[in-house]
Amino acid sequence: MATLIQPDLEFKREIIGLDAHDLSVCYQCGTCSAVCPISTADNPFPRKEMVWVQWGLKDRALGNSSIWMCHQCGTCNTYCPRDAKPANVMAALRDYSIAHYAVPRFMGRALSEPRYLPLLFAIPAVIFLAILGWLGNLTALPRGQIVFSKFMPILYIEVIFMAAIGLSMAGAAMGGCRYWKAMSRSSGASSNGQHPGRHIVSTLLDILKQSSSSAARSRPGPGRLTRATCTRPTWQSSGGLWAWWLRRRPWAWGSMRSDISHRGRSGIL
Amino acid sequence: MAKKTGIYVCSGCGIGSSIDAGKLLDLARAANTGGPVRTSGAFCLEDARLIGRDIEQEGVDSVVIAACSPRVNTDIFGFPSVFVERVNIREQVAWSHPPNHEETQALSEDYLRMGIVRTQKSNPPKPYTEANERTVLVVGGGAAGLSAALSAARSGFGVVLVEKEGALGGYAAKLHKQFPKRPPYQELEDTDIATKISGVRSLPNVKVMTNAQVLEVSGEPGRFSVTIGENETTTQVTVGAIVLATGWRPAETQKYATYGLGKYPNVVTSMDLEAMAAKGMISRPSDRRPATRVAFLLCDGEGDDAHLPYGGNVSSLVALKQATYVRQQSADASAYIFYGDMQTPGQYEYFYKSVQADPGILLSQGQVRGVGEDHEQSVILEVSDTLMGGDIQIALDLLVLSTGMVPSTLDSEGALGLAYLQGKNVPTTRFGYADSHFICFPYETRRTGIYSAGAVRQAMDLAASTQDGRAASLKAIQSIEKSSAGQAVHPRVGDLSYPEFFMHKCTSCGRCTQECPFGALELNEKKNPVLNTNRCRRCGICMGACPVQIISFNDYSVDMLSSMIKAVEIPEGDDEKPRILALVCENDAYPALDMAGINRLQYPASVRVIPVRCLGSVNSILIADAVSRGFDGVALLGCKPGEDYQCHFIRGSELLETRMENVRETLGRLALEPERVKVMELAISESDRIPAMLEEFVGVIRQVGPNPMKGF
Amino acid sequence: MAGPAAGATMTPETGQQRSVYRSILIVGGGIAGITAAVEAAEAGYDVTIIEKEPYLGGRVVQLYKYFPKLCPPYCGMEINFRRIKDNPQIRFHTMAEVESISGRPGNFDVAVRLNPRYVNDRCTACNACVAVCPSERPNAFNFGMGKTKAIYLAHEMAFPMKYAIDASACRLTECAKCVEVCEYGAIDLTMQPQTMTLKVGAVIIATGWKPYDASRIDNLGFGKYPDVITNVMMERLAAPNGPTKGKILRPSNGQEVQSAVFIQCAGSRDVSHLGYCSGICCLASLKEATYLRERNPNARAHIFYIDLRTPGTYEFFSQKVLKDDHITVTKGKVAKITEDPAMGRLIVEAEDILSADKTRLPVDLVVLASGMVSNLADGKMAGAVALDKDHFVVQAESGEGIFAAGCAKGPFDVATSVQDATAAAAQAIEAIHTAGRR
Repeated sequence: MATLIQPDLEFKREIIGLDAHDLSVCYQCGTCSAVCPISTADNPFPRKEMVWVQWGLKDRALGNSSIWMCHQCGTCNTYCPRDAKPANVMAALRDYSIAHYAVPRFMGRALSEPRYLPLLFAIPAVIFLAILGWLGNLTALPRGQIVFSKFMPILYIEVIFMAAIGLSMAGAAMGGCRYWKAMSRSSGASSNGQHPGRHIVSTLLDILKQSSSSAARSRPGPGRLTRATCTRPTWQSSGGLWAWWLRRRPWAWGSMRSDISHRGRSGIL
Repeated sequence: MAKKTGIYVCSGCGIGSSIDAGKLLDLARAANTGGPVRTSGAFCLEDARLIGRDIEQEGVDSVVIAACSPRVNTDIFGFPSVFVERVNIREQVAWSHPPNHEETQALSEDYLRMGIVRTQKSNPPKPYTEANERTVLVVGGGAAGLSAALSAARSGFGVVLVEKEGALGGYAAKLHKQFPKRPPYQELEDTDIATKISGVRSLPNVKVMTNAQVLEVSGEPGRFSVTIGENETTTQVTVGAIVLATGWRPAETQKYATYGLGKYPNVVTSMDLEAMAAKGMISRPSDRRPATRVAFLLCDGEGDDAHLPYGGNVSSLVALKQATYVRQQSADASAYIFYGDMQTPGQYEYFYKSVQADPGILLSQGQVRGVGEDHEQSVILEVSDTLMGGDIQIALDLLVLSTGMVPSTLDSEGALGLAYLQGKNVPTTRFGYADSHFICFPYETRRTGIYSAGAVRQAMDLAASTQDGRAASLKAIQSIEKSSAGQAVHPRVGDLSYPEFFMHKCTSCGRCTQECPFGALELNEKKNPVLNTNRCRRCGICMGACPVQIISFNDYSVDMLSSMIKAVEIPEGDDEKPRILALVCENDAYPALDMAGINRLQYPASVRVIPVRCLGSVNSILIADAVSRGFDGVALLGCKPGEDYQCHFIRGSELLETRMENVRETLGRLALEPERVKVMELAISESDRIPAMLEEFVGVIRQVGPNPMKGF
Repeated sequence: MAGPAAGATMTPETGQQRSVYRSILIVGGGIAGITAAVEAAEAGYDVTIIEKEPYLGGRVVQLYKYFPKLCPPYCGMEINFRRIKDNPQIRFHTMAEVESISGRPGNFDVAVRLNPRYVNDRCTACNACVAVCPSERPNAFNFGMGKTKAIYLAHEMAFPMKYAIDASACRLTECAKCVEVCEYGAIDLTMQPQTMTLKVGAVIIATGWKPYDASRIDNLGFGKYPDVITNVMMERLAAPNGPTKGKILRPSNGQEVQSAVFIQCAGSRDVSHLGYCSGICCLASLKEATYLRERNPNARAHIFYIDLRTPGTYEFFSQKVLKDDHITVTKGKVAKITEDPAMGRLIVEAEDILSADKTRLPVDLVVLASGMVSNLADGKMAGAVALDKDHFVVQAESGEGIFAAGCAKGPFDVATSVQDATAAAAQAIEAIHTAGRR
């Protein structure tokens, strides 16, 4: 049964605003999916993400795990015949997604935009200064030997940090739940139609295998890393989020850069 | 008057080392043609002057040059004022047969004899120069017609422009904007139709008739007699040529019933939207509220009920243009385009990209599954196979259908009222276009002197129609120039000959009038054929059709061909020397034979080739003649008939098929095997097939055995 | 090489207020130039064609067949060549290039450079020279597939049918074996470039196109894998007078092709290459798929496209071709080609967009539908006409006296080029006539 769609052009504009200015000119040739070293045979991306954003189909675009699998290697940008910059769209979707699913929401938004950076830095500073002020240490330093705990008692720090960790873990859990629900909702609509939960175990195993693989770490070139991801369909679901995080490590960046410089000629497959 | 024919046998380019040129000279002398007989190592060089001198000083009035193919050195051997017969003993003898072989020699001698006979049987044509009206009639005052009128008038010709509406401009005048024609191909442009109209109005040599219709056309190029009805009066004008630019109309609404057109008020056609845009308000017809969600459907999908061949050229561009209208009306509006394949060829790709760049215009491939309506009379469109994955539904204020452009030739108003035996309308292709279906020769209709331009010829946009009008006007000008000089137009351009009828023997069967592909022949009150010379393209199909062979050209006739056949020496009692006659299309098969020679391919020397203007000009009696003369087989080599015909006279290869029935009947009467006559399809580029093709035929003939008629 | 009646002067039309030349220069002797020439001449105007190659006919004579009728280009060319041969108002110069154009409508001075052909008008095309020539050159007519001798006839329907010497492959006077063997004194190895000036009333630029350099598309393997060829090469492979005598064989091993993939938009519709759509390639690939099928009843052809552009009645051609179940199409652009050394086949990868799957297809031959590039990309003529950023001539309005026709204006198919050239001839005549009345 056909679903009634309501293009959300505000969403489209917001994504465009997140440094994805050229997404509208995508003409859906699929070059991006074909050159993408990560996307798999039965779940190619980012071509479909492009059309979802073009049509303002927010639920489909956000509730879709592929955006987390993207390395941001830029190969799709290099080869896009329209210069529509699919990688930028994927990045924008991730940014939007973080902001969208974060608990509390304002934190998500604050974390996704550089202009809030001073504010974010200011929060701990204010707390710190407030405690110091309450202890009276702001106006006069305690006398005697210089001991840090006299200036800022350890207990205070621990309480604040424990609370912060607790809150952030709760936030992460709630955000994760929200995202999980969105993904479950849209998995019916997504191309493979499989529930994300199915792949979590195999994905974790995969991550472990890869982390222990010294070859993946030390190899220059585009690497086995991408080969593994390409040939294993297990990456396609929620585990992709973690995989994405893992690949943000510097060694992974190194391999991606060489990917770009080889412009896909290096026989990834 | 007896001819004085000079005969020149060249021995260059390997001819001399392949055949005995001396024997050819003996043969030439024995022919006693009244002129000198000469030979040279290269007649195409300095010795060409010898021929020129014979013409000037010896009074030679015809020359037979046995040398290279008539397709080369045409300038050198093109002696004006004398009849020139080129006997091809280079490409088709020396280069394609074993040297110093008895059969090669026999071939060259037969060709020389045939050439001499042909010269004797040909007379210089007397050009027909009685029609020379220098006015062009342009029918239709839209973009193409206006452009044709402007171009012809600016080139110095008089123009009569007939438009059925009260105002000039046609559909072009109804357009709000046109898609971009100039770099960077991004901005919509105003149509220049007003400029064209004022241009036409300002030219003194253009007579504009509005509310007028062509009622009847008779006559021929150079003097068409045209009756024009204008506001209940009729006017008679004489024109030299006609440009048919009667344009198009949108396809019938019923064709789009499955899309809800006519059922839901908010489903409209692209022409409706154009009208709304021109008025400045794109709104829902149901409640006049501004339309902010507008979808465009390119009804061009395969298997689409309403799919028409007429629209695909422009419908994508129209949708892109109109999506821009919607967005220009309101920043809140969205336009959706559903296409099968986005057709924006060439630089229009830049326009496509610039339209896409607007975030308010959303595009996807898709197949329409259904159209419905909700309680607010918004259109609900269901589309499958979208790029988004799966099927979607979308609610719309307006659904715009790109309707097909139907050429006016399919309607009565497209008719010119031709007072021709073959019908009032210009014949059309299977798509309904007034066109001869040639890639290399557009604008030609199958009515000589009438050229089509614009959407009556093919669905096209304004810029293309403008170009088309210019081009068709040039063809009309050519037709006038050529007919006043008594010359044929395409494809035998410049030919001065035309068919003549020996009426005493005419049986009034009318076959010639029916088979002429160009409707050149009419019947008079006595049911006798009458030729409209300037309508004739000189193909000779009438000559092939005539059961009593009364039709002939001064330089091409059944008598001439049959004398050439008789000139071939048929060896008797020698089974190793069969003789095959090959009648070949002069434009395709003959050059292919030349190219076989150029590539030094060898094929049987038992084949005697006679080029014909068209296979359709081959009279079945001619084939019967050849068989009764003792030829063991007859091959007819020509181009592809059928839907994608290559025949430049349109029906030649097709008519040959019907002629072959007669031939088979004749063979049956003579108790001869039907395998002796074979039609072979040979394209000009297929010279590589010739050896195998002819060898196979010779093999078949050998199996069948020698012709028992030999020597009778 | 001069055509018939070369050297005749053009006479200004007198008796009107202003003297103009009733003659038209046509730059380029391909289908557009030839059409413009014969159409203008048959309306009574003198024309001169300038062609840079040693023969007329341009790109179309390199094609095996035209779409949609699948008819041979030689067929229409034969008629057009006859129209040229029979018409004393048409002259032509091969191996010639325009150096400069100056003047105004009705009165242009055109400087033309005639490059040495090293073979003069005395050539009878007897072919004796080829047998003795010791040097070879890549066969340019076959896009580098195969070789010819340094003295050559480009193809068997070359018009004029006169041989030419490729100076880059010939040692000229140092060798001169051909001079000794030529019985007709047709070879002159000391020939020098010449210039001449033409006075004409109007100019038509019909300089045509060249194939896009497919080796610049670095992910499609042209130049890297021998079995990746371009669409124009496919035309030559299929042509009976091509390098394989019409057999469609794998360049790598000479084996018959069992499966081929056609990759649409190889360079076209791509901001990194050609921003425009080359217009003809979808139809050309459909057509070329029939070549393969015609040769090999078991062969399969697969076309990957973005939009299958078969506008108007060409749709019927597409439907006809796709009735063959061995010819299939997939929406999706191939963006990666690799080689399977074990199988010796190429593997193409694309997203099959309508099923949202990534496809990997092993095939024998890959045909790149490489696009059309304006021959004016070298900047010549820039002073005479306005060019867009792709070096196509911007359609001028009548009156300027210089017009373009065919692929000098955009990537057109043959039918459109012919129509456009007829229109350009009409414009040139209008311009001369109008200039004469001013």
